[in-house]
Amino acid sequence: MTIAEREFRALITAPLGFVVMTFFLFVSGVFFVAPLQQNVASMSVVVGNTTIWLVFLLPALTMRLLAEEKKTGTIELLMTAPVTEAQVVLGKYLGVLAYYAVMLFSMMQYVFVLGMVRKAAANPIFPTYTGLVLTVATLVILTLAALQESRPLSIAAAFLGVATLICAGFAAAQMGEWGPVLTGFLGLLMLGAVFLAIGVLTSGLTRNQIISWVSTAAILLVLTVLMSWLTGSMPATPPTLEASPNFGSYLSFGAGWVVYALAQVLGALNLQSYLQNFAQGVLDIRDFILYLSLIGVSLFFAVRGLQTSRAA
Amino acid sequence: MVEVDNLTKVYGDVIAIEGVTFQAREGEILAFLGKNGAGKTTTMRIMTGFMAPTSGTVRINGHDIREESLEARRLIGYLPETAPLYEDMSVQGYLSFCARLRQVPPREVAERVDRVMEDVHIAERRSWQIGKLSKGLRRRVGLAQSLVHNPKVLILDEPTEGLDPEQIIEIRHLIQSLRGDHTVILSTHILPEAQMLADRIVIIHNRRIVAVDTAQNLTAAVQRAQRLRVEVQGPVSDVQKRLQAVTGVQRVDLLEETRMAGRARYIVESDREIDLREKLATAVVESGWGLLELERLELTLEDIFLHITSGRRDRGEAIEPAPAAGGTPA
Repeated sequence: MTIAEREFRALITAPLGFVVMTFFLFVSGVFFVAPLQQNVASMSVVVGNTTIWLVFLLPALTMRLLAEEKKTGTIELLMTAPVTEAQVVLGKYLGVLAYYAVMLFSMMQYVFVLGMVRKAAANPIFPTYTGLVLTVATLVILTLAALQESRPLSIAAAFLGVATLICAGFAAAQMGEWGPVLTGFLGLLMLGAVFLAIGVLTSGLTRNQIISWVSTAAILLVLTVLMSWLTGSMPATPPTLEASPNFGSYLSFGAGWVVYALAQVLGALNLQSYLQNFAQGVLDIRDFILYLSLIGVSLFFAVRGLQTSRAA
Repeated sequence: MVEVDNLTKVYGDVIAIEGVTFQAREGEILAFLGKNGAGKTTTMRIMTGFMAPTSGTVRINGHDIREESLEARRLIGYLPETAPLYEDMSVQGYLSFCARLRQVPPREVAERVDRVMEDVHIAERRSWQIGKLSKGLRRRVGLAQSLVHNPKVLILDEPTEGLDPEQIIEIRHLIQSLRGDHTVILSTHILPEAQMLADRIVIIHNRRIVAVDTAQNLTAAVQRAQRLRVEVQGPVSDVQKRLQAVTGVQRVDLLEETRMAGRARYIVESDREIDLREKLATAVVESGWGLLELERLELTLEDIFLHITSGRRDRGEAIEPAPAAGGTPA
């Protein structure tokens, strides 16, 4: 947990964290404003379109986690301290996951702005304006707490954060859209959690941050965009046999099945399609299991990687 | 108590260390002496559990570093060759992180950190960012990191490397103050440093341990005579005779290759216990010659290696021993 706290603080106070956060807000802001101008006021557009940017942004958060430690030699500190490899990996992962949660938290502002635009609430002060102020206050105090390493400020930030979430709950409920909002955020959180776990894995396999970033982004691209594109170009229904089959039609029937099966497999690996479920407010336990097992496998191999480096 | 038994480490087809065996007793300072690349760092990395040996065992107070790794690691403080510092953290923040990582009880963290910052004299820089510190200060933060949990066993890989003479002396004092409470194992390639700090010296050469003994025994075995180097402006044969005539001088050798323009260097050997520098200076000056240089020659690591590895008692007379490295007063 000590490691997680250090990572989290390092990200909040370091330029890298700022850059990623700024870019993230810029991108999500664009996707929030663009539909508004076409009089479409919904969270699901933001959620769906932000994913592709996470493919590039999140590896930037994870690339240094272990690779930098190997390069600067600080890994010797962690590996000779009385902690297991699993604790090191998990600490790093939870630290960066917490930072990602803060990034998502900063998206709460969109919920409140949406509430204002829709004028769903009778009272304009609560929850929308209050929520906006709370969001900003939480982020500012959290940053201060990290900079000054102050415990009271951290607790204050946590309280403000919870208050913001409650406001967001009210705002979403008044819009009659709390389902999609909740699952949208949950989906982004889970998807990001998978991305980060893969990032931790590649960071543990190299001492070069660039290699970690590129390979993570490549893996994520394959899992999201490429999969969508491939499955989109494949048949979605099983092939049927003609009424009076000849040899050729048997052959194409067989080939059709192979392609269909492949499409099913690839479709199952397409992470983005699961997010669409979330964005539309559908919670499916199978999606959760897939995400959790991807996280588990990635982190497991990251731990094994560290153990191997000790033996070599 | 640290027991290292028959360690061997092979990287691919390169043998890094072979059959390394020694013990460090409770509360003693043990210097690990060897040239760069002799296998010091590899041995230390294995002792701290950072890497696994190809064969052999390490026990820290009875805990095997592989089998009971966490228990063993709890007892160790380690300063690697490059201090493992997070440049983005403050000195204080970093040291509290290290303390918590080493499982210092939360209530004692602040106190331990304050204490260790006092010990290594960095308390006035506590809120500085580590990335902005000078090399010497970083080294001190590195040392503080290894001490913060008050470990039983301290393993320091070249703790004075890269420091200026003043800082070296400071760090050496600090290490000496640890004697008794901690078992300290430090590596160095500077012989006087090992002599000055350590109760016993382990010499590693070409991947193997070649000697384990006290500094006195090691030097006594090798160096039976005190050697001085004198450079004089004056007629060579007269100078040689005059130097020879000084009471206590056993022999005088002219270093032929240094002879030029009326000046030359001589190696004067005397009994180990007496210091002839003053007498020699007086003799030269009274004869009206110019005394250009007078230096006591320290035994170098090279000399000891030569002695131990060749098994000779007498060193080749043609070899001119170099002055001791490290810039420390003898």
